Amino acid sequence: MTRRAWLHAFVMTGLLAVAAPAGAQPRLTVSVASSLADVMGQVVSAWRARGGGEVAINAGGSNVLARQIVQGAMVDVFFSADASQMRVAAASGRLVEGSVRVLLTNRLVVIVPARAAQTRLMPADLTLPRVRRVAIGQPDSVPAGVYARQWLEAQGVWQGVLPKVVPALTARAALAAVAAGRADAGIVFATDARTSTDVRVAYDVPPAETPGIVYPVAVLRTPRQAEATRFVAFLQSPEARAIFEAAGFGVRAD
Amino acid sequence: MDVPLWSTALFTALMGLVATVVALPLALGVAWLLARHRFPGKPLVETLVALPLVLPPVATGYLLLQMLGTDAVVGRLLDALGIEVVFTWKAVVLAMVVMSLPLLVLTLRTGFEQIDRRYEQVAATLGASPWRVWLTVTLPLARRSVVVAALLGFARALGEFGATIVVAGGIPGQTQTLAVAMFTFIESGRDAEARTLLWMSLALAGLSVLAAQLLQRRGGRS
Repeated sequence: MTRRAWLHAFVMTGLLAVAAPAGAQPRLTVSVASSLADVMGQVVSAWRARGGGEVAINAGGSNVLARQIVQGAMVDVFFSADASQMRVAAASGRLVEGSVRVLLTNRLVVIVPARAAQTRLMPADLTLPRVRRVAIGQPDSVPAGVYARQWLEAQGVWQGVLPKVVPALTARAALAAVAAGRADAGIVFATDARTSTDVRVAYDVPPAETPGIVYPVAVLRTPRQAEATRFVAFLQSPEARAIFEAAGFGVRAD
Repeated sequence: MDVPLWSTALFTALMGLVATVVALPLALGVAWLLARHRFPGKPLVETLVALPLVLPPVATGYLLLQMLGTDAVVGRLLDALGIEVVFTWKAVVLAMVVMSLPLLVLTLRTGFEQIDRRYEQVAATLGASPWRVWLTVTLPLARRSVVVAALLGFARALGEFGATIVVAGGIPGQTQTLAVAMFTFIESGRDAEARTLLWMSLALAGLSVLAAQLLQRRGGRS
């Protein structure tokens, strides 16, 4: 390719990027935790099939999403993977009073590569020399990593596991490291583990051993608040519940 | 888990240096081929080299992680040789090399294309072997673009984030680079540390780019 052709390619790419958003006009913007991205896609399809309006999904780390809300991002619904980030968002004063509701729960699992020799890994096994690397979310900021650290601390093995920790930016990245076989074990959400055939669950962390892993949702004060409230009500409908359960989430019945 | 900030900066600079030393000969070869030769599959090589420039860095990292997986051909080959790459400093260098290669090749190619080929032809008619011509005529004439390319590549390597985080993992004291450490500090609300690293990055990258600019200007005048 000549240099002029290169220039052409760059300019065209730029034009396309500018032109694309003009076509879509999303009614609701829903910020969801990364671990909800897949399942929320299905839920939105069901919502649309029931005559609901357009919904744009903004997926990311809950800490990032909360900060976007604090800084004034135009978001109508916030679906967080952890209660503390919901409190961060609530402190901005932009949430509709009393709209915060815990909808889902999740569990942690210890995963190993699908072709690994060992199929069971107890918490104490993670400190054994044969487990050389343990992939978890960044243990200070990524919710799945924070939960994993808290669990390992409670089990009294954190100090032994710490030198082996490969901190990932998201729980999904930790999953990828184990799936590629380059981390001997990982600690991720049960729902994330289900998305990959390259990993196997080696230990189900009993829910009682971790702090409650909950997903609160809230409506923000915007001109689209009524529609947003209807959308959140739909999230609690039997139809949406079935989708969440099929993805491995626990549904809070209240 | 905390590592002194200066040692993170030093580690990053060292890795950037190693990456530049590894990438430069590779880039010289590719750039020269692209500047001076026609061969079947040339557009394919051009595309492959430029790809990391336009592909999301995280995608490049994910691709590398898949290639180096225990199930993948390259990964198994390295296992057989007893070479461990993923989540070690070698992965940091690998990510930096792949991500800075396009910049190096593009700069060097332009440099080669600007050389008056008659000098090379004269050397050849005087009996110099093609290798000798390249070493004693082509390379000295292109020296400025070589230095500029190395500085730009080094600066790009320093800032590498997306591919590094996937394939090297950001383990404090082992594979954590400046950019990854900064992101981690921002994410956990440790703004003071993040700011210190910001200044370190500005200094490191700024100096390399400034040096490249000054050299380029001198090149333009002579």
